[in-house]
Amino acid sequence: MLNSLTGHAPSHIVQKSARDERSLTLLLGAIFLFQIVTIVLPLCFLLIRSVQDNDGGFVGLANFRRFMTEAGLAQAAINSVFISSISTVITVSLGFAFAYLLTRTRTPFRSTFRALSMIPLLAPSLLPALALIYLFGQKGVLRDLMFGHSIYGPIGIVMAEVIFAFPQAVLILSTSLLMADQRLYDAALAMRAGPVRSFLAITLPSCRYGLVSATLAVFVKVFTDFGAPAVIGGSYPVLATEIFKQVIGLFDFSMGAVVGLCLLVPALLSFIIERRVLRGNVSMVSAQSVPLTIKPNRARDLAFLIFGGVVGICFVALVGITAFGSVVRYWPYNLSLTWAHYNFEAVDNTGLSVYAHSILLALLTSLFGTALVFLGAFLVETVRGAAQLRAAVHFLSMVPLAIPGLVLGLSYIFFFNNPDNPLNVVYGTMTILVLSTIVHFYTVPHLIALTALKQIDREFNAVCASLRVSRYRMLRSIVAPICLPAIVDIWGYLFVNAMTTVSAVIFLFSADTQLASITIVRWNDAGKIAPASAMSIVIFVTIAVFMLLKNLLLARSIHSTQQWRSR
Amino acid sequence: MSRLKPPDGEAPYLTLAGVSKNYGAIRVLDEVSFSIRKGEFVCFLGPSGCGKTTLLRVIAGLESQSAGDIQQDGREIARLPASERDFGIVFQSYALFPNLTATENVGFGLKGRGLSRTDIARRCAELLELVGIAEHAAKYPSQLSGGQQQRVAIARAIAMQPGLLLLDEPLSALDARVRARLREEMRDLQRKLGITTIMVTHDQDEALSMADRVIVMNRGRVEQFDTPSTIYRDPSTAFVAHFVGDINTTQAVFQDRGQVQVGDRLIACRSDRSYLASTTVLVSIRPEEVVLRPRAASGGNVFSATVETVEFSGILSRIRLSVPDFSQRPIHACVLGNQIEALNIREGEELSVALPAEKLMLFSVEGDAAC
Ligand SMILES: Nc1ncnc2c1ncn2[C@@H]1O[C@H](COP(=O)(O)OP(=O)(O)OP(=O)(O)O)[C@@H](O)[C@H]1O
Ligand SMILES: [Mg+2]
Repeated sequence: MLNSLTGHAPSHIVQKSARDERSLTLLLGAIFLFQIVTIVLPLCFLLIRSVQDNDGGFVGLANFRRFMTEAGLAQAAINSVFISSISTVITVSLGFAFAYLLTRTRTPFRSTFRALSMIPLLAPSLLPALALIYLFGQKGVLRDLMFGHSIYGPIGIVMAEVIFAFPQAVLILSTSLLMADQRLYDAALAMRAGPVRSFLAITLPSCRYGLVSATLAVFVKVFTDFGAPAVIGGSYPVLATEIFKQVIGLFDFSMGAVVGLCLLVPALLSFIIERRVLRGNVSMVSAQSVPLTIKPNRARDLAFLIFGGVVGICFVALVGITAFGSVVRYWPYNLSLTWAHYNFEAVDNTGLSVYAHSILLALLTSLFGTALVFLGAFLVETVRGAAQLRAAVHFLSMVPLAIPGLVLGLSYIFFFNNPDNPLNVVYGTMTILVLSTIVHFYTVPHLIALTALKQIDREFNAVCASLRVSRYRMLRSIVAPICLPAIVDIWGYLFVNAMTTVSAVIFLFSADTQLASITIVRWNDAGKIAPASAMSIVIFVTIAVFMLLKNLLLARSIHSTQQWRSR
Repeated sequence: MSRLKPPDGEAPYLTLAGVSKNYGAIRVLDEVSFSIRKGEFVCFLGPSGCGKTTLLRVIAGLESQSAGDIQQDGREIARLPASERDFGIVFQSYALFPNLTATENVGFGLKGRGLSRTDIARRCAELLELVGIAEHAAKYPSQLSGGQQQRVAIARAIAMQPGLLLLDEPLSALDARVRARLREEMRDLQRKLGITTIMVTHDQDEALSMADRVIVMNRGRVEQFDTPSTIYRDPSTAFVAHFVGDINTTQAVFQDRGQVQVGDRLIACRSDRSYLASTTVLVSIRPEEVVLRPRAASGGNVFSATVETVEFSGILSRIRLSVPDFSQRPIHACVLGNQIEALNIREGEELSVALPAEKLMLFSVEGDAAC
């Protein structure tokens, strides 16, 4: 009756795959192909270009030699390291203190402080730089505090970068400070260790991984940031502005490729270091840990209240001064109010369209990006076979985190502006801006999506198979509704970043696709500080309104369609 | 003993032949073969990690086996994906869709099959009625108790009228009292629907009280496939004997049919198992078969014993005895409460135990005698 195969058993019985399984695997393959085209190939072209001269001939390492010997470039590299190191030390120290305030003290207004510290995330990195110019520039109200030094240069860059990177440091460090075990502190108290001893012996070691990853993240962020040095760097060369000068100013694409590779180095190093450090990560917090109870302490809380107040006021002031600067007639001589600087049509003929382009970019990026990222993460989690394909897609989803926007943009020039590439039709269009922005910001949304998907019962797949319900319907009716908050987060993250991004798109926009954030750089270069500020404020307000709407909508929909979340 | 054909010759509903599964070098299922009749309730019973869940998932097509055939209702299914097989499944976690109400959960598979909205609604209402939670139809899983969630999961699994119902430890997340009630309810429901059912459990009481037949598994192999009473009375291996119920065991040397040597005593044994003379074997007896007699005595199948402890528990009491001539380890006996008085059983008391020859079981030593 049964022809038992056990006598000559094959190593494995291969199941015929289900119809939805086959098409899901195909979809996963399509995403892999997309990643090859938008990540791997452009980077390969960048690599190749770095060993070619500008006519495409192979020159070996000549470009690298030129980079080492050309005084300006080598100096820019040294400057970059210098600026990044100082900014990192300051940012991580301040960020640590601020995270400590949020997590380990009973300072009043902590949630307000938390919200204020996130202000820089809502603005292009250019906004703090503009604010610093208003405050400390040649016509700045506080320029005497500079004691004759110019804000245009290293001092300005460092200040702007610290503000720019601060929210990220606070996020990472407060996460790691949140994990604490009361029992360790009780033990320290029992051994009569004072607050300083227990801080050094328990607090610092227990968040050393947070410190390491904050340090690396901030360093890489500052090292590759374009906005701040472009606005406030003056004639002080750093790699991020140098790559721009080589490509746009001197049309030396090969040297641009070499500088791009240099910008990649810290990200790669930090990836390796983080791996190394995390491998030895034995958590001090275990399942039996007792959560920390923080007792009030007048002196400590007062000190942190002052600290938090100063930081909070600074951040509000940054936006405030920029907003103020954008509505006064002529800073600082004629402080009468006017909306004139908001009449963008009068500044140059691109005027309002740049704002429309930015909104369009943000909408398209957030729409397609959210769909793509969520689908990709879903496939990585649910496709049954194809383990290698899944691993490859996951890996390529993590890669963009390590690619500075400038490098991505430049590699897109090499790949998409290649006459032999059939895809070059997208060059100079909105499509390539959307593509590059999605890829540039791909990793964080991918991780948000994975985290949400991992909380879903794995057996849903089995249940759906037994009910003969396809995985598409499962995605639509079960998985997506459950993950709605994560999806909205992803959407918001992509929208905000697309509104403010400069670095990846600065190589890729065309006359027809000018963006608001880039216009700020342009106007600032042309000395039109007030309109540049006005545009920054417009972006800032757009994002703030958007976030407000998003949260309202989410609360609404959770109220009406997600009542299952509450007991 | 695994049987390929059910005893009464009726065509089997589900047949596994030589099903094996490897994870890398580890063999998780080893040549599993058995047949199940239509409408039968079968339990997979075995210790943690013995491969019960894996076997269930292989039958469902959620894992693919390395070798072997599966036939369900006359159809070869080994190469079919889960979605083309015919089963309903309930997991330990229930895997209810949290964003759907009880009714929507039950009706999830019914949608998009040409049924009208009212038909679906009627069918869902019937199913919820059947499992006894009609009044909670509009609630979300997070608003239901564990037992109620479990019923929704069962209603959802039978909604598509599958030929085979698979249950992976469906009761283990519930507290003891709910579990006892649900055991009966599930058994009744299964009878009423006549649906062929396989339930995985590591709880022997559950398996023995619910199943028509039990498959006892160990290390990926089927140790025995029989009715609960046969499994209990006539376990085929020492592993089964020890896994199902309590038992006293000691080593012995097989002499010839009807006689084994324990220590330096020859005792009668009416087991129908036979071994080569002087083979070391295990001789076992259930506690309730141990007969207690007043006063010390010795000879034949009677050993003198000393009472170590007496443990009252309702009608039956458990008595621990030291019987040095039979075993180094103490042995247990179960007696009715009123016998305690009659036999004057107290700690430290000397008495004798008789081990009836027809109640002694013999097992070979290899395998998992120590379990
Ligand atoms: N994906 C896997 N990869 C490797 N080994 C596995 C995998 N899944 C299960 N195993 C191994 O297979 C064996 C059987 O697992 P299975 O889950 O079937 O046990 P079980 O009898 O259901 O146990 P329990 O009662 O604890 O649920 C175990 O030893 C387990 O470690
Ligand atoms: Mg299991």
